[in-house]
Amino acid sequence: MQPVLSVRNMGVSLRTRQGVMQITDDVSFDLAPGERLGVVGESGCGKSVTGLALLRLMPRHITSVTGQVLLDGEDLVKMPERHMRRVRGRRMAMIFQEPMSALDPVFTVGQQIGEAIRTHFGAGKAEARERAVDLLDRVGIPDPERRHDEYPHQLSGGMRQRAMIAIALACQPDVLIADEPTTALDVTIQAQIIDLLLRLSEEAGTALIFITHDIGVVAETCHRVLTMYLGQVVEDAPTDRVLVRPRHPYTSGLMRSLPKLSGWKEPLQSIPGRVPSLTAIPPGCRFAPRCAYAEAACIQPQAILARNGRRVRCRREAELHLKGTLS
Amino acid sequence: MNVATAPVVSARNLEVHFPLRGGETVKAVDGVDLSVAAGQTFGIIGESGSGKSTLGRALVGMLKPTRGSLEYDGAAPPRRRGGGQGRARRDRQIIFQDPHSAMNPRMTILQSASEPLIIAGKSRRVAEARAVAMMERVGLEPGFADRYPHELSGGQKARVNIARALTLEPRLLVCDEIVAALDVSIQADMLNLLADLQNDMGLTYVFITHDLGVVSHISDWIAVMYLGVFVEVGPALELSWAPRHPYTEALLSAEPEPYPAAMRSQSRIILKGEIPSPVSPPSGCRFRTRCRFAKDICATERPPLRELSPGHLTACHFAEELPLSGQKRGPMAAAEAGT
Repeated sequence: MQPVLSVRNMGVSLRTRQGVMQITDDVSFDLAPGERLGVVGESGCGKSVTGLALLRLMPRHITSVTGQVLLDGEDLVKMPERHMRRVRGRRMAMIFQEPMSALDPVFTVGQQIGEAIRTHFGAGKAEARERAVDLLDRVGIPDPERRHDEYPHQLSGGMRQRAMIAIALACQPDVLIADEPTTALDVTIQAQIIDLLLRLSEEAGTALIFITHDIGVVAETCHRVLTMYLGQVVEDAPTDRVLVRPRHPYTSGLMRSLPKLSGWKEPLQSIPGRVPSLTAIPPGCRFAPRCAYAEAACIQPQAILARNGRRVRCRREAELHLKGTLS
Repeated sequence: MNVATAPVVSARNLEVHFPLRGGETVKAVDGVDLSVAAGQTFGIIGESGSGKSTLGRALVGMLKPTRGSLEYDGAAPPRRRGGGQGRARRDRQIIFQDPHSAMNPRMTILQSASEPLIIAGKSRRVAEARAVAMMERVGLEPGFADRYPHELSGGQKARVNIARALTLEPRLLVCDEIVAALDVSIQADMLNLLADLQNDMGLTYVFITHDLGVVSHISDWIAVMYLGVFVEVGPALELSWAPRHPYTEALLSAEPEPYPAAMRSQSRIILKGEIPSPVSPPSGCRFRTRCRFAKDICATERPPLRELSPGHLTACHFAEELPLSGQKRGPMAAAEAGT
């Protein structure tokens, strides 16, 4: 199937006072229509920046993006800003971890949903209201007629996240980017939101990019997982296969750090060392200084290698037997 | 009572209420009994609004209970300054989720870490020597001493907070969501460090979190809190493998499982709605409005905490009959099944 979104060697760099910082580098992946892709990695790996850069939401005057972002074959990187406005929200939308800072406090929830519908579809006031109420109902907000006229601060955290999902889905986008949408929520509310996102993506065939640090969330929602480390994709594989047997030592390290994979009160496994700063990126394989399997040859730059429907950025991937979340 | 056998901290019918304008009251903690033995970890789990942080603050004396009693090592806390209150305060410390807001941005790490000792009357020289030693113990090189909080990563700041709390050699340490904001690998380091410190210093922990994976790994006992009360208390493993309260079961079920589809539980319990307001909690059983087993009696009679097996208590009218399931999937289940 033709991918709806195809990212080719995307790199994002920022001009800072310390000079140009390469935040992400050589990020490539395809997203099929209706596919749910997880993006995992620790703070600073570039997963959120990747999401923002896809929609060109990074601060324009200090950001430069290289490579291609092909949405139905059209390159968003080169697109003029006025055309980009017809993409954002309409064909590709995004939701965030903190709905309170993404919602406008001086407009009602309904006005914010209606704005998207009126902007992109030219709907009138009455029609926008009707559709907004219907959307609030579909995302599971009780008493949608009343909630339509309330302000964000009158809603609970879970309800605000539902409202943000309603705004994102107002124009039936082909791709929804969700950046840690459940991280700030309680586990019972997280379960409700995940259930909702799964249902909506199945019903509307919306492809989903799910950015999270939680491997459990990915396991339950995504068909495929990208693991990122220090600005690069280090592994790209179908979810169930990577959970059983990761091929990159970093992916395995992330999984093995989970408390529930160690016995009660046993010492937990962790990844030695710390993520290096972007101003001191190791030459060669970026994970090598922390990797238990690194050899002398790992100081050579490492390309991502494709084999058997997976891609791995490790020269030893075929010989290593790494542990996933089982065993 | 003999100090060696008395619990490090115990609470009886503890209530912490906050009056609102207009005569209403937020019943944040509404009748909690607990007892934590020396050297043990007592985990408290609950959703936002359950009252777990308020309880934690009350346990270290940061909040005054509205009603009920607290005892430390078998004795009531001293009431007046000079009556041993200073020592009692030093004996119990609390650390919070956001290590950054817990530090003064204009003080160096060493100044922050030695301040408690200086307040306790030590000379600057002694205080700094002890603070440096404790920073080393938690894995911070001496080079960090002269840096400022903004120069440190989240994991390093969390370590500074632990070091600062421990310079006073407390007996009880209340940890309020201290690993929630950390990446998994750093979280693993911190949990290992806390376990080592507990072994070396004989510390007693009250560990407050919303993360079931974390709490069931490190705790000896777990209490599940809902709208100001404990609905279930029990030995950590027993509670997570065989919960006896529908709310505990729902929490366990809601936890995402990092396993392939074939290994995950097939039926997830998704609770309806959200936690009700602690201003006007439901009558009878507080969980009944979201409970899939609720019957008429649940609205009229408040279920008391009953002991079902040694040390395992639950507040549910139907605890004996409900077919509840706990953590069963994943590697441990696979090992049991011999796969």
